Amino acid sequence: MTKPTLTYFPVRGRVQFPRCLLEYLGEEYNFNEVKTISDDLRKQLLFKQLPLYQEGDFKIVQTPAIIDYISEKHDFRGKTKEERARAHQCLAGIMEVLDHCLGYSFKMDKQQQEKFRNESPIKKFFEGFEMVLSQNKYLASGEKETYVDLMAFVMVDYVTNLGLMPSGDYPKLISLKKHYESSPQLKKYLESRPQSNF
Amino acid sequence: MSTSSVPSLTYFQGRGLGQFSRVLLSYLGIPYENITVTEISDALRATLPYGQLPIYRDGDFVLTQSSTIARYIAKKHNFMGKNLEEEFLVDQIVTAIHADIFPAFNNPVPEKLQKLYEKYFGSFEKKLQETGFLVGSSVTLADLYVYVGFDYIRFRGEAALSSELSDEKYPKIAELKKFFESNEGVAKYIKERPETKF
Repeated sequence: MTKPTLTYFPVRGRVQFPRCLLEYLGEEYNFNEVKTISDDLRKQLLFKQLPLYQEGDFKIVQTPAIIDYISEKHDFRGKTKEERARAHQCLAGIMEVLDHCLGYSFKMDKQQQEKFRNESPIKKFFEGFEMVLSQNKYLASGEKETYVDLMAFVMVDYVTNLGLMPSGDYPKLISLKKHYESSPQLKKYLESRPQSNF
Repeated sequence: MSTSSVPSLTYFQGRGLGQFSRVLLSYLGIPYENITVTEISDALRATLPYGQLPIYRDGDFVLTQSSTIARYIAKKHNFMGKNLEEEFLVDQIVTAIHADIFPAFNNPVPEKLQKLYEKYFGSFEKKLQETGFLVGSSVTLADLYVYVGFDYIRFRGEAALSSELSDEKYPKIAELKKFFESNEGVAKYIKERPETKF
């Protein structure tokens, strides 16, 4: 079977979500790091955007679609239609958080960061995830973890790294972060990933 | 709250993000209760995972995030493509419309919107010219999403730079619009929906 390839810039950004997923699932993949989108590469991109996931002739863009595809391959999306839908509902929320942070995180000074944390547009998502985890062991509300628990870890880790963690207490999310941080599958990637501020 | 045995979709009276699932349910001929609200009351807010509408209820099963709702309904009714690969090719288009096109209305910058439309609708038009469908060899949620997105921008008028999306420039997407609007369920929905600003 062909080893999949992920193409992205040398930063964490959006690609850290599918990368963490592949690492955690133990699937070997190539990471094609690019500084710019060349004309040749642009021709392969449906919406002229990265990340791009390739597996043989199959190509897909859009981070959530890539995450879903990898998870489906590894039976990591949840057992039932309902569970899969709940997982996707959380993933959509995680992507909204990412969009809020990616847009302007690296343009903020300390004062603006503080303001963002206190009046955070992402706070409602953190509260929502925390509420689900206080009532269920996993975010998709099933009996087993799914990709979305791991994606929530990546979100918390990323937001913390950017200094944009919303004010408030999120013990369940912090515990989730600790759980995945200590995962042997992720150790190597977490230590070697780019030290970028976005 | 709805006690009906048919599913319900709760959203503001406007089209907005509720439109995708309303049109989808109408197209598939699925009876549903269309609940409209003028604001999010405290009682309603308490039932919303992220404090946002739309919300979809099917018995005890509750779902938010418009793209998740639409995908759930489409998957349940075999409208996500014929196989796994097609499902995720549909997903990448749905995600693009939700995550990239819709947020651009919040702070419209004419030059940016123009480029955005050319990039996305240009790629959809090209695909429709080449194969007749956005994914695979039959109509899917991707086609419906492009129709609803295209139609919604035109409905929003010049604030959304609607003149950029002419039938002449995008003849295949215009055909897609005709196709969906000739569907009995969609035609009935369009005829009955109220005139709103958004």
